[in-house]
This record gives sequence, structure tokens and C-alpha cells, in this order.
Amino acid sequence: MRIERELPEIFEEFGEQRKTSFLEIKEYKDRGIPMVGMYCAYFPPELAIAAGAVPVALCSFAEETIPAAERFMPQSMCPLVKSSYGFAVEDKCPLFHFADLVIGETTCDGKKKMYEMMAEFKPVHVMELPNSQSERGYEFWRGEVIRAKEFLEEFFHVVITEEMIRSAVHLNNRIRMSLKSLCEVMKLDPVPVFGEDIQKMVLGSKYRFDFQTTPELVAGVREKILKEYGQGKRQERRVRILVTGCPVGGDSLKVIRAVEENGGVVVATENCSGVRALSRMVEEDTDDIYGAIARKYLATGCSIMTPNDNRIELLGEIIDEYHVEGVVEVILRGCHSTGAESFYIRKFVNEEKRLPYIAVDTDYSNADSGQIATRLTAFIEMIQAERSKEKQANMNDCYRIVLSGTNRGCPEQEILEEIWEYTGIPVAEFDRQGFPSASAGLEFDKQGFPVAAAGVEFGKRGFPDDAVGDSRVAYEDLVKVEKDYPDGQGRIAGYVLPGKTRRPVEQLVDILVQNYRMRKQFSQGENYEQPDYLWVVAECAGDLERIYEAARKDMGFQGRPKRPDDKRMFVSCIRGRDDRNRLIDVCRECMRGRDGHVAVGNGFQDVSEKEENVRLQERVLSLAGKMKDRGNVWLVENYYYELAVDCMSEQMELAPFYPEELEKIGRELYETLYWYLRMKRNVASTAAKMKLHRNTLLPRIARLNEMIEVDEMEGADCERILLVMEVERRKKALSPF
Amino acid sequence: MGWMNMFAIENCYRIIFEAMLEDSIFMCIAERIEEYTKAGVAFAAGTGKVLACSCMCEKLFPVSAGRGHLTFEDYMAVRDRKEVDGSCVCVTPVYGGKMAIGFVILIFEEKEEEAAFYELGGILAQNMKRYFEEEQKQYLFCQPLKEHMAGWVLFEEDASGVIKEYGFPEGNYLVVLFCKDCGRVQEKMAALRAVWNCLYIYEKSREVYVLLYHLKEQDAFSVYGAMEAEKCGCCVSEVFSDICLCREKKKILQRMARVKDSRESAVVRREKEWSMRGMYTYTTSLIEKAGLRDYSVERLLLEDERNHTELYHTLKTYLLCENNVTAAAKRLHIHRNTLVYRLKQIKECIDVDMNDFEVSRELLAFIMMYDIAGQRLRS
Repeated sequence: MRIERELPEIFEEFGEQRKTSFLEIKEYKDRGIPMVGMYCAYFPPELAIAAGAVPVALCSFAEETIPAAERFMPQSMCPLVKSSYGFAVEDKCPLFHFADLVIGETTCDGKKKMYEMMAEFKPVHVMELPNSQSERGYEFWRGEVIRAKEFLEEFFHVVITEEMIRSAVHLNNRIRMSLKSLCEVMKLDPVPVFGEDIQKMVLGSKYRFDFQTTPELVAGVREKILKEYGQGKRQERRVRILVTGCPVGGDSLKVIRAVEENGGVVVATENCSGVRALSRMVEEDTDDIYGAIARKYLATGCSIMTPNDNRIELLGEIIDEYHVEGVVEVILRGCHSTGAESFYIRKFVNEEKRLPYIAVDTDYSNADSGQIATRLTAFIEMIQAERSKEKQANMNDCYRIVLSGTNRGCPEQEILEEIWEYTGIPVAEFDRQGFPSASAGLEFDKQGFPVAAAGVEFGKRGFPDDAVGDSRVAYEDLVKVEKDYPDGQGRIAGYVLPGKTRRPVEQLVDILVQNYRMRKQFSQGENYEQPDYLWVVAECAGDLERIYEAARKDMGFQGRPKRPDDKRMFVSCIRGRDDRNRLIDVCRECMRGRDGHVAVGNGFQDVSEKEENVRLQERVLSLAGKMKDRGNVWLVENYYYELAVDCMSEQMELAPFYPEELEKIGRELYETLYWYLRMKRNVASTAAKMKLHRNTLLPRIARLNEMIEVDEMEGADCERILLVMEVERRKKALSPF
Repeated sequence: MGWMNMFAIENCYRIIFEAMLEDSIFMCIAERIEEYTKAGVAFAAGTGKVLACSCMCEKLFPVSAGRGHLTFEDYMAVRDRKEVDGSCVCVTPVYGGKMAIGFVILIFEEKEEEAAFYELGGILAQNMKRYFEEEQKQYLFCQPLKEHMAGWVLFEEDASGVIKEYGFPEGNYLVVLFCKDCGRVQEKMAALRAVWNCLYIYEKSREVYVLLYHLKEQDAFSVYGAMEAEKCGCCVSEVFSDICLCREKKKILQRMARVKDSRESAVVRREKEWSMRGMYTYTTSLIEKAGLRDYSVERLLLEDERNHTELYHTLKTYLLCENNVTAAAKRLHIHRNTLVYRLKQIKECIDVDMNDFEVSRELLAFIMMYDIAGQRLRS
């Protein structure tokens, strides 16, 4: 059949077929043609056609009727069952309304019960479906097919002859065949149309009651697709996804939409309404036509079967034939058998087929469509990333390397090395005089001229094709691509290895030139320093160098250390206490087992305090040096008191503040009072600190009490006297006498 | 007559009139009058401050001129109108209200010219009264030069040498400092006078020191009590018996007054409790200039701000009470268990063990420094 109309229009028409069928069915009904309603793919519509009735798939894919069904059914049931029953009980589905009879099967528990409930207001015939696709099961199912045939004969008062059934089988096989070939256009890579369109065709064809013309119409669409594909009308390269699991249609098409709106394309569906149901024909060339029908329909790989090896087999075939890159399994909430079976499917897909797999647990509501879109986007991006890694060095990754290197403050040399390791393209940066200032993958002679490109081992990075082993490539065999920096301060050069294309090298050189400009901009912005700032000062410049290297490499440390200036190192971008603690850990690690000392300052926000703060830290370093050992990383917070005392003793006159208590006690008890106050008037600690016996100390304290009632004093008073004593001691230590 | 030839009073008017157009009028007049009459000219404010001093006076009273204030010795000399190095001294007081608000001092050589110089002094005093009054406006308290001098000597000089000569009262003393910035100084002063009327006032441009004398130990408590009852924000020293300590007490009180504390601005700051904080005012540069900060304490303050708690204050009090839970709970007016609970919260927040001797010592030092200098950071 020639298709005159545009493809999207046809797809849309098929999508709308169910709605138009509502009107059509009335006509059929008026003409006295009976209707047989069906739900599952296990029911052979051939039987209905042979009986002169029209088989109609009843509505079961909408969220809107679920609330109605929930008045009668538990909420935890699967949305398919609830939706089906809701349509029936609400009488919202015209197809159901006009159906003379509903054929059901004992598939899953939900459906079994639903048919029972439905029988209250509609004639229902339930076919007993075996639980297993064994030979015995087949024998049983064959009997059931015949029983159904007999039921239909009796119900509609017709006789189904061998000829009638065979012609019905033939017709159905043609429809199936045409739909199968239509589905197979998705084997093309890149795909000609979206999976959703194909799905619309497959689903819509069930509502076309003019069965005789369906195969031709579908074949026409297929032809048109292929013709247009030949003319170059095709989709861009997308990630090829297989959707499997529960039947998808109506409201649950959202999963397919989520895939196709986010860079993927559904090349096939493996479920009872997708390629699965179409993949197998009813054998026509047989004596036992009912046996053939039974065999075909029992082979439907629904998860209610146990074991369900058939499904795995079909899945494997589809994955191979359609070049599937990722599998999405749709599990309707409440469909326990599919949910449980997803374990095998995941195992099979991941281990047997080595493909990524994701399960989407959903229902018909729209509430989770955002979540599904996010998950599927990530899934598709992951596949894309995987794919690009396999193919060739992706330029976007070069951007990533360059950008993250620059943001970390890496020198150009390191960035070039990383680039070279990743792409295998030797690169070099030359200064204004033409001397190499940084390079990777190149060997230079003493005058600074490149002589050869070093080989690189790519295997571990996943470019087996690019591996050039450890062989060196002579400079003559390289093709140079170079570009000047816009400010004329140098240039960057990339080299095309023999047998490689020039394009990626050119792209890379462009990226590196851009990066140079970016770095220039950064360095103009005051070396991109940001608060908080912090100083690390050391006794020995070498220690700082080590800490600088370690801190820069520590990925968990957010701060940006600057190259140490002699014995000072400035760090910016410290984000609070955790960052500082991380830096302290780095310092401790670097200083382990070394003699020198470093002092780690506090974080401060105001850059105008920079100079004063470093002097403060140096003061800490010198103060701490005079005190007892506290490891070799000194922190400013352990020297507040000393700093304060130091400050006071430099500026203040002690006399006005000198407490009369101190004048009273005299020299002899001075030491005792000092330690007693410092230990917060704790006798045991004081004795330990002064290395005295408790009994020696106690009389002294008794005398102190006699003189100044030290134990009666308030805490703040004690701190005051102690502070004066500290200042006095410090002053004495400073004075030359 | 002879002296009439030496200078004409009319010319002096001209000099005064011309000088009034200049910026530093006192200095200008002093120099020009000296040039014209060959007599030393000096102006002293009612508080004893030297407002201007011509060359000759500078030579005669070098110390006073250098310090910008009459020294005790010079004050005595001027008061008694003694001859200085054979020169005559003529002092003309400038009256404003009921008290002298300034003095015109003329020093001349010839005894016979005395009458002329008295006239000149009178003219100067009359014409410059406006300027003396302006000078006086800076001061809240108007008192005789003698009292001003006493205050100045006690609070600025080494008073030990002049005590006997001046006849300062004996007994116990107490110094109170009012900051003019805090306002209501006269009101506070009146409250103080109501309790104790034996006092000297020494007023500086920004603060007022009051020395109470003839005190007994228990009187001091009534002073403290009264000041607290009146909610007079001021700094009060402890009672002391050596009057020479005034100068040092002034320094402590100055430091104490410098402690900024929005919570306790209207509080009577007693030397005993506040002198430690006073000492910490010497460390403000660490926080204000060198940016000393502590992430843990900052976190605590942030937590306070967020949850409207008082963890910082609790920690401070706890540390000031030498980590004594009972004492700190009493001071904070909370139950012991509340304090224990708060301490647990604090420990979680600052992530250090403040019960460690060393840690608590450093922490207290930081909190004191921060308290005193950290206003800027907190805002």
C-alpha cells in the first residue's frame, strides 16, 4: 500500500486509534457483529476471529480509573489490574461496554481475582493457564484453547470450522509479521524514527478492526520509513535502549518518553505487547492447528511462568539483533513476579551480555516522572561516557582535564602531561624565545629542539587501538600543529603521530590556547585568592616545600596553597574548621620524624591583615620554641595565652595592676601560688606539676590561705593574679637582668 | 610720663583686633603683645592648661610651657605673684559666672610700669573673655584653679613631693572614672556627691576622674552600692591608702574603661573584677590588626546567634570560674544540671575539651581577647 501522508501524522493516527475505535465499535455492534474483550497476550484472538467476533483489547493503561478500583481492591495491587477493573466497574471503557464477553486467563493473582469480580457484571470465560511452559503444561493449555473455542461456539451459537480457524491464524500471522518487520526498522543504526512511534503503531493496530487491511498499511509505513531513511532522514546517533518487563502503554509510556527525551532511543520493547509477542508465529503448516496455537501463545515470556527461561532467551536475541546498549526494565509497582524476576534479568544483562541495566519501579501516576527522567538521564549519560571512552579520546574530556588542572592551580607542565597521557598526543609549550617551557611526550636535545616523541603505553587507559608500545617516534615523522598565544608571549604545539589524524591535534591546540587565556585572566584576578586566608610558617623552608606539595595533591583539601616564600606559605580558600584541620593533618604527616617545626595559623577573612597575621604566626613560632615540646606542628590556638602575655608584657606597666596579694606573700611562696593558681587550685595537679609531695605542698597552701585566703577567692580573681604573675615572669625573662 | 612713651594702650587694641582674625588667637596675641611691649605674655585656662605662652614666658617657665599645663611650682609662683628671676608678675583673672575661667599672665621687668600692665591685663581679659569661655565649654565641671591643680598633680604627676606642701587630706582613697562618651556624667556625679562629698575632680577631654578621700573601708561599700543602685556606668578602683597611687589607678581605670562590652555598659566596673580585662586591652592589636581568629569560638557564636542560646557567655563564665560547675552555675543563675547540659553542647560545638588545663587556659585567653577587641568581628 502506498502511504501518501507524512509519517508523524500516521504515527499520531495510530496513537489515537483507540479513541476512534470507540466510535467504530458502535457501528460494528449495530451491524450485529459480536465483540470479545481480552486483556492478556495469552488469549489467542484467532479464536474470536474464527467465531466471527471482533477481538478487542480492553483498556488497562490509565491512571484515571485506579481510584475507582481501589474502592474494591487493595491499593497494593498492580496498576494494570486496578486500571482494568476501574474501567470495567466504572463503565468508562466503551470497548468493555460493548463487549459481549470477556475472556480471561489465570495469569497472575491480581488478574485471577479481577475476573472473578468482573464476572458479577459481565459474562467472563476464564482459561486456565498452566504455571509452567513444560510439555505437560502445553498439553493442558491445548485442552484449554479447545475448551475456549467450544465456549465461544456455544456462546455465539456458531461452529468454528477448521477452515475458519486456519484463515484466522493466517490473518493474524500476517498482521504479526507486518508489525514485526516494522519493529525491525529499529535495527538500523542510527535509528530512523523514535521507539515511541513504533510503540504507538503496535498498540494502535490492536484497535483497528478492519484486520484485513492492517498488514498492508503497516507494511506501507515500513516502506516509507525505509525510503526516507535512504534519503537521509534519520535520527542522530542515540543510546540504544531495550525496554523490558511489564507491558508499557498509555500512561506508562512515560518511561519510553523519558528515555527518548534524554538522549536515548528505545529500539525494542521486550514484553507481551512488544517485539516479544510478535516474534513467534503460529505454525500454519500443521495438522493440529489448535496445538500450534497453544504452543505459540504459551510461549509468551511473561514473568508469571516458572521457570521463565523463554524470556531470557528472547531477551538475548533482541539484545544481539538490535545492538542494544542498555536495558531498562519497567516494573509496575505491585507486580511481584516481574519484580522478583528482575534479579535474573539484571544478572543476565550485566554478566552474560555485559551491558548496563536499570530497573524502573513505577505505576501509572505522573508523580515520579521527574525522578525517572533523572535516573534515566544519568543512565544514558553513563552509557554515552562509556561509549566515548571506547571510541577515541573525547575532546570534552580534554576540556575537563585542562579546566580541573587550572582550577587546582596545577602548573602547565602537569596539565600537559595529563593531556598527553590521556590523548597520546605529544604537546609542548614554547616561550617567546622558542625554548620549551613545558612539554609532555617529547624528548628534547640540549639546545631545546624536539628530537623524538616518546612512546606511551595506552593499554591501561583503555585505548588498545592507539597503543604504540614503548617505541620512540623520530621527530621527522611527526607533523607539527602550532598556534601562537594571543599576547605573543609564546606558543603551543601539538604533534600528529604517524597514522593519526590531524583534527584532534588541532582541537587540542585550540583548547590549550584558550586555557592560556583563561589562566591569564585568573592570574589578573589577584591569583584567585579567596577568603579565608591562612599562613603556615616554618623554621626551615624545605619543610614548607614538602607541605606545599602534599597539600596540593590532597584532593580532600579545598584550600589553595601558594608556593612558599622562604619560610612562609600563604593559603587561600580555606573553608572553615574542617579545611584547616585537614591542612593540619597534612602538616603533621609531612613533619613526621623530622626535626624542624611549623606553625599553622588561624583562618582570617580580611586581606589587609595579611602582613600582621604572618608576623603573629612567626611570633607563635618563636614563643613555642621557648616552651616545652608539643610535637612539631604548632597551632596558634595552643598559644593564645602566651601571645596575650607577650603582648601585655611588651606594652604595659605592671605596677598599676600589681595586686596587693602578691606583695603580701613574698618570693618564697610565689612559685607555689603560681602553680596552684595555674592548676585551678587543684592540690593533686599542683603537687604533680611542682614535683612535690602532697604533704609538702599542703602546709604551703595553708600559709597562703593565712595570708591572702587564696581558697576563698573568686575564680576571676585568681585568673587576674595569675595573669599578673605571667606577665611578671615574662617581663623578667625579657629583661637582661 | 615715662611709661606712656613705651607703649600705647590704643596700639594694643589694634593688635588684639588684628589677631582675632587669625586662627590661633591666643598664641598670636601673646607673641605680638610681647613684641610690642617687651613683656612676657601667657594665657592659662581656668583648669590650669597653658593656652599660649610667649617666648619670654617659655624661658621663665620651661616645664609648664613644655607640658602645656601649669606645674605645681609655677602655679604657686603665679598664685603668690612672686618675682620670677627679678621680673614682676601680673596676673589678671578672667571671670565667667562666679569663677575665674582663665588667667592673663604678664611678666615685665620695670616695677614702675606695674599700673600700665595691670591695665593691659584688664584689657586683654575683657576682650578675650569670649575665647576663654569657649575653652571652658569643653569642661563639664567648673571649679577653682586650686582644685584643678590638685587633680592634675594627683593624676598626672608624681605627687609624692608636693603632698605636704599642698596639704592633701589623709586616710583612704577611691578613684572613680566616668567616661564622657557614656553621657549623663553630671547626673552620675550628683549621685556620687550624694553619697560622698569629699572629693577632687580631675577632668580631661574625654573622661572625668574623681578622687574620694577621707574614706573608711565600709564607706567604700556604700559608694559601690549607691553607684550600682543608680546604674551609673563607671569604673571604680579598690580602696587604697597611698595617695601617690592615683596616677596608677588612673591607668587601670583607663584600661578598664576601654573594654567594650555592650552587655554591661551601664555596670559599675570594679577594679577587682575588671582589671584583668583591662590588661587584655593591651592585646587588641592581635585581633584587630593581625586578624587572630578561632574557628571553634566563631562556631559557638554562630550557634548562639542561630538558636538564641547563651553558650558563649556560659563558656566564658565557666572558664572564669576556674571550670568550677557549682560556682559558674551560681553566677549564671542557672541550675547545675542546666550548666552541665550546656557544657555538653559547647563541647560538641567547639570540638575541644575545655576541661583540659592547657586548653581551658588558651580558650579563656582567646575569649578575653575576643571579648575586648572582637566587637568589630561580631558586627
